[in-house]
This record gives sequence, structure tokens and C-alpha cells, in this order.
Amino acid sequence: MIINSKDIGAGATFIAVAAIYGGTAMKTLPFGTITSMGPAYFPLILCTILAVLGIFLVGRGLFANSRVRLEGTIAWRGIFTITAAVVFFGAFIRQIGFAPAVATVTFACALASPETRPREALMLALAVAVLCVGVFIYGVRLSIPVFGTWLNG
Amino acid sequence: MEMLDHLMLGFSVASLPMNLAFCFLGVLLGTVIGILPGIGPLATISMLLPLTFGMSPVTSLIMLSGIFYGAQYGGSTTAILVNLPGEASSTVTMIDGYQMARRGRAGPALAVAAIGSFFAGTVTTMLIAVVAVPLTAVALSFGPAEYCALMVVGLVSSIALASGSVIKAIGMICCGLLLGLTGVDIYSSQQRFTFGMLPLMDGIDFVALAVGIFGFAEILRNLESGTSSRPLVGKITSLMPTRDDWRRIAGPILRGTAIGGFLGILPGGGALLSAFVSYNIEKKVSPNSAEFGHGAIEGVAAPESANNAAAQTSFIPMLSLGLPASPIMALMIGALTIHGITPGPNVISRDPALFWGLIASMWIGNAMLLVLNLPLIGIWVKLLQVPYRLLYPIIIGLCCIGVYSVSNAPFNVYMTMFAGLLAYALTKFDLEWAPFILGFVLGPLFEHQLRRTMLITGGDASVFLTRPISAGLLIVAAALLVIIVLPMVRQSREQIFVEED
Repeated sequence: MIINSKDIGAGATFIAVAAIYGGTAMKTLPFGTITSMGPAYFPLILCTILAVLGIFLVGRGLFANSRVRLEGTIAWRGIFTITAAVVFFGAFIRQIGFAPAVATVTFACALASPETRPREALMLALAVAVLCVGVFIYGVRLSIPVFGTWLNG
Repeated sequence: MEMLDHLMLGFSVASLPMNLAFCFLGVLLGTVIGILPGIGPLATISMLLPLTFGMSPVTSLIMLSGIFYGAQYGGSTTAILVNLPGEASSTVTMIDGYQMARRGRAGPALAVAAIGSFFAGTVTTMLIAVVAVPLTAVALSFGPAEYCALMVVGLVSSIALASGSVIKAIGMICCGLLLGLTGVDIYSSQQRFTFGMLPLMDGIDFVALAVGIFGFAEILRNLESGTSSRPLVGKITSLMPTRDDWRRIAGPILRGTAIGGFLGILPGGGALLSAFVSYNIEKKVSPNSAEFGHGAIEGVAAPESANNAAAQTSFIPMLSLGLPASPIMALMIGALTIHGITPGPNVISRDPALFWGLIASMWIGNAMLLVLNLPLIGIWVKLLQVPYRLLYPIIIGLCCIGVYSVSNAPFNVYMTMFAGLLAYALTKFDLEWAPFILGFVLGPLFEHQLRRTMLITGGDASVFLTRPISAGLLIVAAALLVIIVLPMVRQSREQIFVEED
């Protein structure tokens, strides 16, 4: 079967957004009248448009004239490393403090590229952490402790 | 000579030591990120937005704009020396700029790019000063219906910014409008689309969203194709253009400035489009048209003037109407809103120091850029040799700091990552994010004005067509839509034919 995967994916996305937002609006919010629009009025107009566009795109994708596949590879290594590093940053910055959090996120993300050696990543992380403490804590005066509750005992 | 008074006020504000310093910092950062491929002004401005909380509004706006137009200068350096677009808008400069570099004329190419940009920047700064006031006067007579119509024009023209399918762009606008409504509804004080998450009560944080979409997703895309860098070509011997060069670039710079200045005002016109248009026009009118594509100096001068002119004049709709014509301008509006200033026609009368100070700073910034980019070119060449694999971890680190510091909330960091992953995935379906961001920014405003219109007219939707300004704007929107669709139809047909062969 000749399908256009990009159109189907995009259409499915629009239908999903319309279903989630439209469903929530219909269940929890009053619609109102045209003179005094309720909180669900405008969102439901948008969801209707989205649903129509989505159905059209899925239809066009299923009966395509030529096959279109998704392009490129998926950067799995990058996705997992960077997600883990960033979530770690958010979850533990209070406990470990600004400097260790910045160093960790830089170190881990550097390793997402297969060409970077651990030693290089470590040097980079230390340099970035020192520079950022200088710029953001002493320069811009962000009110984040340099070392967190765990390390201050 | 009211305008002179205004400009005097502007220069007195812009030349305060604090503002000069941040103007310099802005254009310096702009040059750096313009030169480095893989990080653009969008990601940088959204990253730095939280750090401007402590500054005065005019200082923060001066710095953020400096990043934007500084990136236009930096982008051309990369285009000429490495044949990569440091910035999307310098794609056209690559054609002849790189060829000039290969022929040992990298110096004059860089010089012409900077001089053209500076000339365009000077002229369009004056243009903003002249045009903004009368435009503001028109905007003050706008009622809610006119505002709705104006926003439709803005949204439709954002489709022009998207390079792909019109239907997908419209869908992304709707998604943006919907997500923009997240939070407490001001009319009924009911929570909307928070899905039980407390931090979403005040809406989705704009900084988190923008950093995720334009920072993280971009990095993930770059990681797909490996992170090695390309070698640069051509040594820079002499910067000075020859007499013959000067004679040849005068016309292209003038025409490029005019084209860029005009296309920049139109919402969605954009820097890239004007660079393309001016290059093609020069190719037609130039007596040296055979040389185009093989290192014609006109082919560098025209698009570089045009993209800088367009970058400057795209401030006009933002400053006088409060409407963003591009995602960058949407960020500027975000910066103003953070400081409690509602962008719109009132800014110019209520806060003249901000308005004229920003305009004057643009001229000062352009002058700084000329100095930064020519005598110091050697430093920037070194910067080009920093490999991307060492660069992106730094960018991620800075993004995390920026997003976290908005309100010291881990939630915003998770939100950024989520937005980045989603943006990376959806880009695979050719969904584009410029229309989405515009929709997101305009969502609450659009709904508000729509509700007001319906309240005043008692639910009569025909006002949009019976009030002259509103009707005129909607006709413009419809015409734009037709223009955008027409070449699309042709293109997609051509594609099908190619694939059938």
C-alpha cells in the first residue's frame, strides 16, 4: 500500500490534540452562548478545525500518490542521555546545588556524542561549572546555592 | 522637528553607560551565535530571557534585540568562510560568498557583507522612526473587531514562514492557540487544560516552551547526523574592497535595503525571503549576471543588505501594533510582558524612552557590529574551529540554568525537556514550530478580543465585514492565503511528476 507516513503522523497528532482538549473542554467547562462565550467556546471551535484538518491529512496520507517515509535516523542515544541528564538537573539541583548540577548535566550530555571521550567531557564539565558559577552566581546574582543541602551537611 | 526631539531622547537613553554596555554584550553574543551553526537567536534569546528580569525593560530589550540583529552579521561570516548557513537568513550569501572565498577574495566578501548590513541598518533605523508614529495613530482607533482581524493577518502570514504544507501550518496555529489558553480563564475564573497540574495554573511557561522547541529539539536533530565540523576555506589577506568593487556594490546595496525594508514590515516577510528576492533581482538587472554563482560581489552585497534591513523593520509591527511578525518578535513581546508592559500602540506615548531608546540603540549596535566584525575577524575565524560536540553540552547546561531560574521551579525544567522531545518527534511529520509559537502567544489575546466583539455586537459576526478596517485586513489575510497556496500547488505537482519518472 502506498502511504505518506508524514501526513498520517501529522493528522493523527491533530486528531489526538482535538480529542484530548475537546474532550476536556466538553466534560469540565461550560460552553456559553455566542454573546457571552464560556471558557469552552473558543477551544471547541479550534478543536473542530483541528479534527477536520487531522481527518483530511490522514485520508490524504492513506491514499497518497507516492510513498513518503520519515526521514533521518532517530537519535536514541542523545534522547536518553539528554533526557536523563536534564531530569536529574531538575530533580536534584536543590539537594546538590548549582555547581554540581551544572557539571553533571554538561558531563552527561557531552557523552551523548559517541566521538567525545570521558576525559574530555569531564574537563568540559568542570570548566563550564566554574564559569557558570562566576557568571550566574557572582555576576547575575541568581539566588541558587552553589552547593546544596546534601553537600553542606 | 518632533522627530529630531524623539531621536535625541532615544540617543540620550541608549547612550547611558548601562545601556551601552548591554547593547555591546547583545551584539557580541549575537555575533558569536550567528557564527556558530546549530544555535540561533531564537534559542539564545529564550535562554537569556530569565536573566533580564532584574534589568530595566529598556536595557533588556536593547540587549535582546542586539542578539537578533547581531546574529545577521555573524551568520554571513560562516556562510562565506565555511559554506554553511550560520543563520538561516544567510543561506543566499553562501552562493557567491563562498565562491569569492575560494578565489582568495574572502576579505572583500566579508567587508562588503558588513558594510552592506551597516548601511541597511542605518537606513531602516530611520525608517522605523518615521513610520512607527503614524502607524500607531491608526492602531489607536482599533476596536476589538479590528484587533481580531489584525491577528488573523498575523497568523496567516506566519504560514508563509513555514516552508511546508499550508494545512499542517494551520493545524499548528490551532494547536498553539489551544495551548496558549492553558491556565485560569479571566472571564469565568475556571481552570482550563491544566490536567490537575498546579504549576499550569498561570499557563504554560513561555521560556520553557521556547527553549525546548528551539534549543533542545534542534540539538537532538543535530545529533542524528554526527557532530564533526567542516573545514574552512580561504585565508583572509586584505579586507579592503577594490575601487571596482565599490562601484559594483552601490546599486545592489541600495536595492537590497529597499526590498528588505519593505518585506520586513509585512508580517511574516522575514529576512530569508527578502535575501532570496533581492539576489534574484540583482541577477536579472546586473551587467555582470554571468558572474553570479561564481563569486559575484553583487551576490553578497544585495542579500546581506536585504536580510539586515528586514531584520530591523520587522520591529515595526511589534512596536507600533503589539503584534509579532515572527517568533523572535513573539519573544520580544514576552520580554515586555514580563516587565509588566502590554505591547501595543500605547507603548510609544506611555513609555517614549523605551521606544526611542530601543530604536537609537539599534543604530549604535549596528555601528558596534561594523567594528566587531571587520577588524576582529581573526577571533571569529578561531571560533569557527570549535567542534559542535563540545558546544552543545554547554548550550544544554545554559538552557537548564535559564529555565530553572525563571522561578526556581524544577517543573519548568521537566516541561522544557518534554517540549523538546515532542518538538523533535513532531518535526519528523514536517510539522513546523514558527506558526505554533505565534498561535501560542496570540491565543489568550485573540480569545479575549473575540469575546469582546461578540459581547458588544450581541453575537453578530458580520461586524468583521461591515467595519472597513476590519474588512480590509481580512481581505489582506485572504489574499495572503491565496498567494501562499498558489506556488505550493505548483510545487507539489512538480514533485509528483518527478517521482513518477
